[in-house]
Amino acid sequence: MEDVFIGMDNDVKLFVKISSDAIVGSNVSLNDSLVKKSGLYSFNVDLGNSNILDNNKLSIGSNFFVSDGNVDSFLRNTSVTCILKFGDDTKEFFCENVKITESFFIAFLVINLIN
Amino acid sequence: MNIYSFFYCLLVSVFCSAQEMSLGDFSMSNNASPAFMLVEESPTAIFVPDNLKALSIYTMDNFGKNLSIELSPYFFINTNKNGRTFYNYIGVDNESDASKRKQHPFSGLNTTTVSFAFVDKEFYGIVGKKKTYSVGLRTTFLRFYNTKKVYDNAKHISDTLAGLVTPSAIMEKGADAIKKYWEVHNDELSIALKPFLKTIKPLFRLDGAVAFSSLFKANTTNSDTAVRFGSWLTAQGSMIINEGSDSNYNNYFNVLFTARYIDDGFNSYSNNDYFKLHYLDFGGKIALDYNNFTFGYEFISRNGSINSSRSVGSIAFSISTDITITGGFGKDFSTTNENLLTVFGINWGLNFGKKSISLY
Repeated sequence: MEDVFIGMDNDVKLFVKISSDAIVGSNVSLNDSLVKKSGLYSFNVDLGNSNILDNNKLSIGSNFFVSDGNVDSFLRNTSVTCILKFGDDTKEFFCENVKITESFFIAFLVINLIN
Repeated sequence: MNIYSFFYCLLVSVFCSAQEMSLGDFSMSNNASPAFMLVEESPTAIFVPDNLKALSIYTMDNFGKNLSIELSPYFFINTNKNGRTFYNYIGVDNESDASKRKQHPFSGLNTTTVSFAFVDKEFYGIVGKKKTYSVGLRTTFLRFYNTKKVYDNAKHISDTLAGLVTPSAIMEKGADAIKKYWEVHNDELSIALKPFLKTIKPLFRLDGAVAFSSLFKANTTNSDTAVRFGSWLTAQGSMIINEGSDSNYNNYFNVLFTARYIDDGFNSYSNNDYFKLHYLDFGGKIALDYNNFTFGYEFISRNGSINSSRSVGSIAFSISTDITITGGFGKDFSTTNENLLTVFGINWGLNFGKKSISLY
């Protein structure tokens, strides 16, 4: 898990961009407390002020469903990019994909926010 | 290893190594690829693939003699392309206002496939088995969905997916831990996703295919060849017959029409006396998808150098996603008394990939 230094007194915003031919539903949590659910391929979340986010674990899970067809080929063509903006800084992350069943796979990322 | 097995292994190796894939990545079945259909190696002569999303290498294996590979270039080309969405792929706008929601009937062009086949079989009118290769191209020119059904279903799935949360402590441990977590919570996953495993077919679709085949007259690669060329259009209309039921399947009644032209050089009076015939085929088929069975009957009228017809009933049974049994029985085009067609195929998947077998 990567530590990300978000500085003091910054508004922190997360942008998620998904590219996939599969149907997607995503969730974003801070310390396992759900802050956003989305069925969109592009969405953003206001995480709040960096002062209150210190030592928070930010986790992003995008769940994908393939009703018929070969899940591996859909997984291979799927990318989920997470962009964290805080103050004037921007940091970009790429989620890792993992196949769960023949119709379901997950792209995930977890990072530790530190100010 | 015969030359056909060698070609098959070579092709698969090339594709696998080029894309850094394993054989297990591909779904395989004994579906009717155009390359196989031209050399009459399929239980049905009127066919459109239901599985529009499949990246596919299809094989059919008559005890190692007859093989076919079909693949979708869409899944190999420009794999890093951004901006993909399910809605773009299926050709229905992601628009909540139904009056503004459009569909894009040409989106099926994404499903264009290329197929290759190698067969060693006896052709009607030719003495002895002949080694033959075949190449085919198939695409969906037009398809029209019930846009409300597609959109509502996709939104319902998205909402369900968004509610499946993996704990961060599991994510921290990586992909294997996530897989294990959902294995343990498989019941939750199955219950959540089960309602969405039903296939949604287009209300109407129009497919086109062309195929070219070459037969080695003396069964050696340096011998003269005879050529067969075919092109055909197939239209299919599908209607759900168990709308709103609790069944795990959408059962469909399908009506198909086909028109095809065949320039057939696979005819001979003796070993070296090959000649060409030309046909125009027009036919229809009705097919009923009932749970994991598909029952079909097709009739094709052949006009041209010879006049004939084909009348065949077929059945397919999916034991699981990996195992399907198919069969066909009836009268083939042959104008002699030897016109009984019986086809039986078993298709299954193995851990290292999937393999199919056909018994004639």
